[in-house]
Amino acid sequence: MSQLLIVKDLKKRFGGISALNGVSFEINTGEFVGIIGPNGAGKTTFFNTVSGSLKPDSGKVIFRGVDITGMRPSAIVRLGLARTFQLVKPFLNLSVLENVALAALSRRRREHDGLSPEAAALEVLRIVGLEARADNLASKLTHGELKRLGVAQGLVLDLLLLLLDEPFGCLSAEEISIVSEALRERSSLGVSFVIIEHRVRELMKLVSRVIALDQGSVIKVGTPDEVVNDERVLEAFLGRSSGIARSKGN
Amino acid sequence: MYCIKCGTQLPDDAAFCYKCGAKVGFTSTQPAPSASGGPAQSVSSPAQPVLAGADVKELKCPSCGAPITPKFGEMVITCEYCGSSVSLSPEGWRSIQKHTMFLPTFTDKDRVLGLIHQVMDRGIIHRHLQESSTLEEMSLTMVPYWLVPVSARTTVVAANVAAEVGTVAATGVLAGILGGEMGGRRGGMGGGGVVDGLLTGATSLRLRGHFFIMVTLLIPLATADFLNYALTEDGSIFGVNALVNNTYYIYNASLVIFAVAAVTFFAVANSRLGLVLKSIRENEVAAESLGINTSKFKMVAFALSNLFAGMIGAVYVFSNGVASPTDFGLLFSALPVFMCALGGMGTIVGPIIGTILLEGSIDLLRVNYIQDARLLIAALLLLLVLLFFPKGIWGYIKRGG
Repeated sequence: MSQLLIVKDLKKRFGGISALNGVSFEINTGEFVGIIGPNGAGKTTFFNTVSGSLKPDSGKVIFRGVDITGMRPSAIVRLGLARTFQLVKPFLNLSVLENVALAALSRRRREHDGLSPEAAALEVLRIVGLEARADNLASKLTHGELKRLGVAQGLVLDLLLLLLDEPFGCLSAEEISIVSEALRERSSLGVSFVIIEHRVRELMKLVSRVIALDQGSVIKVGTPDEVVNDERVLEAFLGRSSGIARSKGN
Repeated sequence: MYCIKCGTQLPDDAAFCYKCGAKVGFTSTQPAPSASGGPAQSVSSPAQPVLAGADVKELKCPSCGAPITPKFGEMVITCEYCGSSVSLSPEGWRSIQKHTMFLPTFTDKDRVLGLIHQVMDRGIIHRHLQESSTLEEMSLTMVPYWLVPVSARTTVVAANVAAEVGTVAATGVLAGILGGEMGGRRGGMGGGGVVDGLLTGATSLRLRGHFFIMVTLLIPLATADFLNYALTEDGSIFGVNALVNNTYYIYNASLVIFAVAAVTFFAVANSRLGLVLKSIRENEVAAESLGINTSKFKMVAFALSNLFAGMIGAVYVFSNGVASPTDFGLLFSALPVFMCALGGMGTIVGPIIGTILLEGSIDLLRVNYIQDARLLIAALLLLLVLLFFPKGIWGYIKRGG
């Protein structure tokens, strides 16, 4: 498998706090990668620096062989990399269809298949099960539906790599299975995913590799089983003095 | 005689062929055409005063003999062949188009004192004169100006500025298309406008919300101050020749521009471009993360609104007769914002309602006591509207309906 995304020694400080302290790793084409870590580990900052919302202090981000460090988010999206937000940010005064059609304007393969943004948007709404709500204002949606709308916006962009920030947060079990299914389907078409998720059990079912972050550094990379059973990871999550961490680690 | 180059029949004493411009006759003594203009150069035949009466259609340049065709009533004309500027007879004075006295731009005694001190400080006799002087008497002299048609080229600075402004007023529409406008939604005033539009765009695009509005207000003010300073330095005040004297045409032109603008904006609002712009208004960060280059589309929105502001600005200059930086004062710049806020921001009907209401009632604010405080009143009202009535009149009606 070829390397889709290469992150080299990414550093970002906010004042005195080092949010990213030299993070390096690669994501391969078609891979499903999870990122876990306690609060403040730098997960969201990592997404922000990779997707262009924040400029890293140092380090390089290379996507499809192109150095995208410090490029505009919109330019990075057109190359095929985007992120969703932990707190969904749909356009509340626009309809669900319009929300997705906006994203469809920047679809990577728009020139190739000539599908209109509206048609592409409808297709994706069908996948995430929001078809019936297409003409509703986004402000009328439930929280779970908004999350799915966010996923639909990410999907319709027809990306090669999608960074999902807590896609399962606040979702019911049923909704999680809908979203997971949509993600798996895309993955089979060669799309790669990086997912930040606190609901580790659901995450582990989906991903093939997990990166554990703590205090701005990568502390463990491996299969879900390896990471879950790693002593340092458990310490980071549960604290050094925790008896549970010791017993599980051993 | 005939032209040696193209064979056209010419007057016997011609120095140049009026068709092809070739030198004919006794050309050895003829000085080369001077690009800079300047006084008429000596020629073999003595220069005679040339009359441009109402019936005169074609004259000979007293300097080189080439035919010149003054437009009716012109007093000064530059010969296209030898570059001499010729002053025509006093006949021309009969066709003065407009005589007027421009009111000085200063408004009170302190301002006048300031100007005098400024001149004295720079020094006519010696610098810093004002420190050792006392002002004993002040008198106001009104200097009348006459506007006369002229087609001359010259290097005198004041005349150049005037010529530039004349051209600029005529190309106000173009200035608008280039996105140049004084930000006060009224502009189209020209060279400064283009620079200012770009300046405003480039510096304010990174700002959001109310900060954006504030910067778009402040930059035109700064520009107006700068222009005011730059222009009064020259001492030149200028008028714009009336394009048409009939206010009926001005009204109709405004009406047509208004209609075109309204239709255009309705079309844009319902297009994909409108969808993109709405998404930026809703949430700029989210729009950017969906692959929309927000800076680019904000520039498009800016240019689009400035296109119509520039067009109406050109009409305004002609109807006003004078293009002056003071037109872009705070009240004039702030009023459109107030009109939008009152009628309903983010709608097309809203600003129209707001404009009708405010333009209709603005005369009320010109009442004696209120006059000086009208900016304050407008600002207070704006604040109240933004705080308690943020959707505006049309926003309220739409939500209710």
